[in-house]
Amino acid sequence: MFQRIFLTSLTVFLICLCIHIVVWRTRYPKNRPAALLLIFIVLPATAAAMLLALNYLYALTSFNGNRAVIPPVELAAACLLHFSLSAAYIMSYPAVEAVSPSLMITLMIGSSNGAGVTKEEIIASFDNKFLIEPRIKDLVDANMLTEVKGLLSLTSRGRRFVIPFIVLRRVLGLPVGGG
Amino acid sequence: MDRLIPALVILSVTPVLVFFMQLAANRLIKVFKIAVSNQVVVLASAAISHLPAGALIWFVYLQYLDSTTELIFAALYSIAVFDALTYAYFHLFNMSETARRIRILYEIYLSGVMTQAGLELSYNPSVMLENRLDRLVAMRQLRRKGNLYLLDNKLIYRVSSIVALWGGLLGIPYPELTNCAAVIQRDKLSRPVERHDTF
Repeated sequence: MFQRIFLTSLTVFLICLCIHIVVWRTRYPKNRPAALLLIFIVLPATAAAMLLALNYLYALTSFNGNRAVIPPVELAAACLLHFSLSAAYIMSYPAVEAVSPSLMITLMIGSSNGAGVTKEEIIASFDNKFLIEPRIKDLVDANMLTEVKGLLSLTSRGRRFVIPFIVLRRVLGLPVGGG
Repeated sequence: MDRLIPALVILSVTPVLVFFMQLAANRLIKVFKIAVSNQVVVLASAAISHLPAGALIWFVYLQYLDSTTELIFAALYSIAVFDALTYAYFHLFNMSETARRIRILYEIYLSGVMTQAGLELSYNPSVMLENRLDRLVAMRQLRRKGNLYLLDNKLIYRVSSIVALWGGLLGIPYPELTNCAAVIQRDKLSRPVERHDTF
């Protein structure tokens, strides 16, 4: 049973990854989080719901009524694995898109072929144009920030987004993250 | 088969276990005043959480399986789900720790309104980079030799290479990466040739 579950969820996950690559390369979406949710969560969930409906239809119409196309528990287990993998991918996607400075620092030091890089060289290669401005633009595009006459303020969406992170760190007894 | 349903429910809420483990670890760290990176604490909590989660799944489901093959695959399935969800939680926490977007939102949340210049003053890029260098050294991904930073443990470097490859496959434009490479190249060319003694 678990071999089938593995095979089903890994196949679905790979199909989602392929759709993701094709969509990103052909039409880079403006609202990427929503596009990721659609590809990795909504589409497979719709497919699973349709499969479940098909199961009931099959059970109703077949002579040996208790046999199903795929047992619902197996389907639920396959969905759980797929959604876990998708959650892991969706949560790590911002690091791919926003080019995490930590990843860039290690790439820069790695490409120095053992010669090493000084702090000054690292700081010189990053500036506000690359560190802050693109992220402000992302937040404005995602409707979390508004900019009126040079003044930045949070939208209700931005507020709803940031408060859970503040609460999480307070509950964990940690100060605000260094960024 | 029916026993699988409670096992699936337990598996789907396992990140809560990691959260409580992290909460307890943070309290202990405060009491004993241990200097350790917050990311290391989450990773350690996730590693330790395998034990109670595994015991719970064994008690609810795995012990009732007859075939060894089925037991192995069921155990692998449980580990895959647990690790994927824990990894997602780690990234969620990591966003609160390192994400620039969260920090920008937080700064503006505190002050109400802010100009970009004011934001850059309170979230200084040099400080941001120094924070990252300190974290990478604390996690033993980098080491210092004089005023130079060198790779230590190459885990994050390998992850970075995979992330860059994946970004390339997705066709994401990386102006930042091109800028960094250009600046480093320029600095390397202008830096006087250093003699490296090798023994």
